[in-house]
Amino acid sequence: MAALEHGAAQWETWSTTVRLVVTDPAALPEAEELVRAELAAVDLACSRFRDDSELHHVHQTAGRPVEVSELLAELVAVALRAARDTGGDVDPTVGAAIADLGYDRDFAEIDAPAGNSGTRLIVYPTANWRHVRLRGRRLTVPPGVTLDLGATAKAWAADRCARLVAAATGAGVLVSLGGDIATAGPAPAGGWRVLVQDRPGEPGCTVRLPGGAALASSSTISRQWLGPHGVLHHILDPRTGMPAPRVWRTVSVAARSCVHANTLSTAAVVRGRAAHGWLARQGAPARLVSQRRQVYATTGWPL
Amino acid sequence: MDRAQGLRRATGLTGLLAAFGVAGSLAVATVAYAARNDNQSTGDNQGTSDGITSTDSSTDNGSAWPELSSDDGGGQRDATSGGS
Repeated sequence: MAALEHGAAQWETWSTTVRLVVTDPAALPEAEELVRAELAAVDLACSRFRDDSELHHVHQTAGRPVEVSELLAELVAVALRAARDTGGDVDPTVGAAIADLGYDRDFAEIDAPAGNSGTRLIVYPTANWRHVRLRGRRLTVPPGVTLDLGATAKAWAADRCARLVAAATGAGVLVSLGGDIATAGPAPAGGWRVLVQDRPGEPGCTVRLPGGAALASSSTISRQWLGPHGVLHHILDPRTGMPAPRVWRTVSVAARSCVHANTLSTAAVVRGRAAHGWLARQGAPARLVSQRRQVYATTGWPL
Repeated sequence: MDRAQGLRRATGLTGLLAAFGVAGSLAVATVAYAARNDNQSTGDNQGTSDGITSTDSSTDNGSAWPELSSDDGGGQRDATSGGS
């Protein structure tokens, strides 16, 4: 996929594809080592699927404040900022809701349809992101609340890995974690070439990103599974605890950080019909694919 | 000054004062509204913001958004951004 003069590596983690491209092939081994180590650290800090993760330990504290690592504090802070800035559209406290819908283990392990198990009464804590307290590294999660940092942690990791590799090697770098793309350092001539397409057969286009730019896509057709209420996708509306209505198949946004791009694309899926105007008013370069595969773009998106 | 002229002058003065009053109230309301928004931007009760301004920590060239360009050429791409 990469141009021949680049160095590229690709592997699977977090049930998604990691792609690493550097402008200097000689920098690839060091770059890959850095990225693998960083992703392992993030996973150990905030995975909700691991019993040995720091976040799992926090969930066991039943509402008591706990001193967490600098890394987890940063990941939680990023998630809370995303919640604040989107008016709660991207809320990390949906962990219990999405687990109850069946996404309670690594996505690659969700292979058996749960089917319709009949009527169930599910009561969720009324707490939301506003009830999570983070003072420095002192974190308090209300009893019964499970944090899902996945929406922002992956994008944050892409940003961080790109910056680390560029700083360590001096090469231009692109890091893609399941399509959440961050770049740093000098870009190749003409920019990074990125295919924006949810999956084969979906509307697609290729754009060029300048160095330092980021691009994220959120989808209602990827990461689907058959849950107790039918076919579900992984982007929940925090207000209902259910998957957001399928107004858009895919929303892609470019920004100067992957966290920013991902926060906007995720919130856009949650906002549904209002998303295009909301993104346009902010001037965000964005591309939205409707359920009927019609493509809408804001003025900042190249046509 | 006859009675009618006096009434007109009094009415004009009252209207002028009323106008000042309305303007003053608007000014007070504007200041109060601005102060309320300032408080929201730093408080825990924020949540009605329609835009995102604070999550982007890597702006380095004064432009809020990166400038993308289209690429109609075929061949190899560096990466794919799809749903995640």
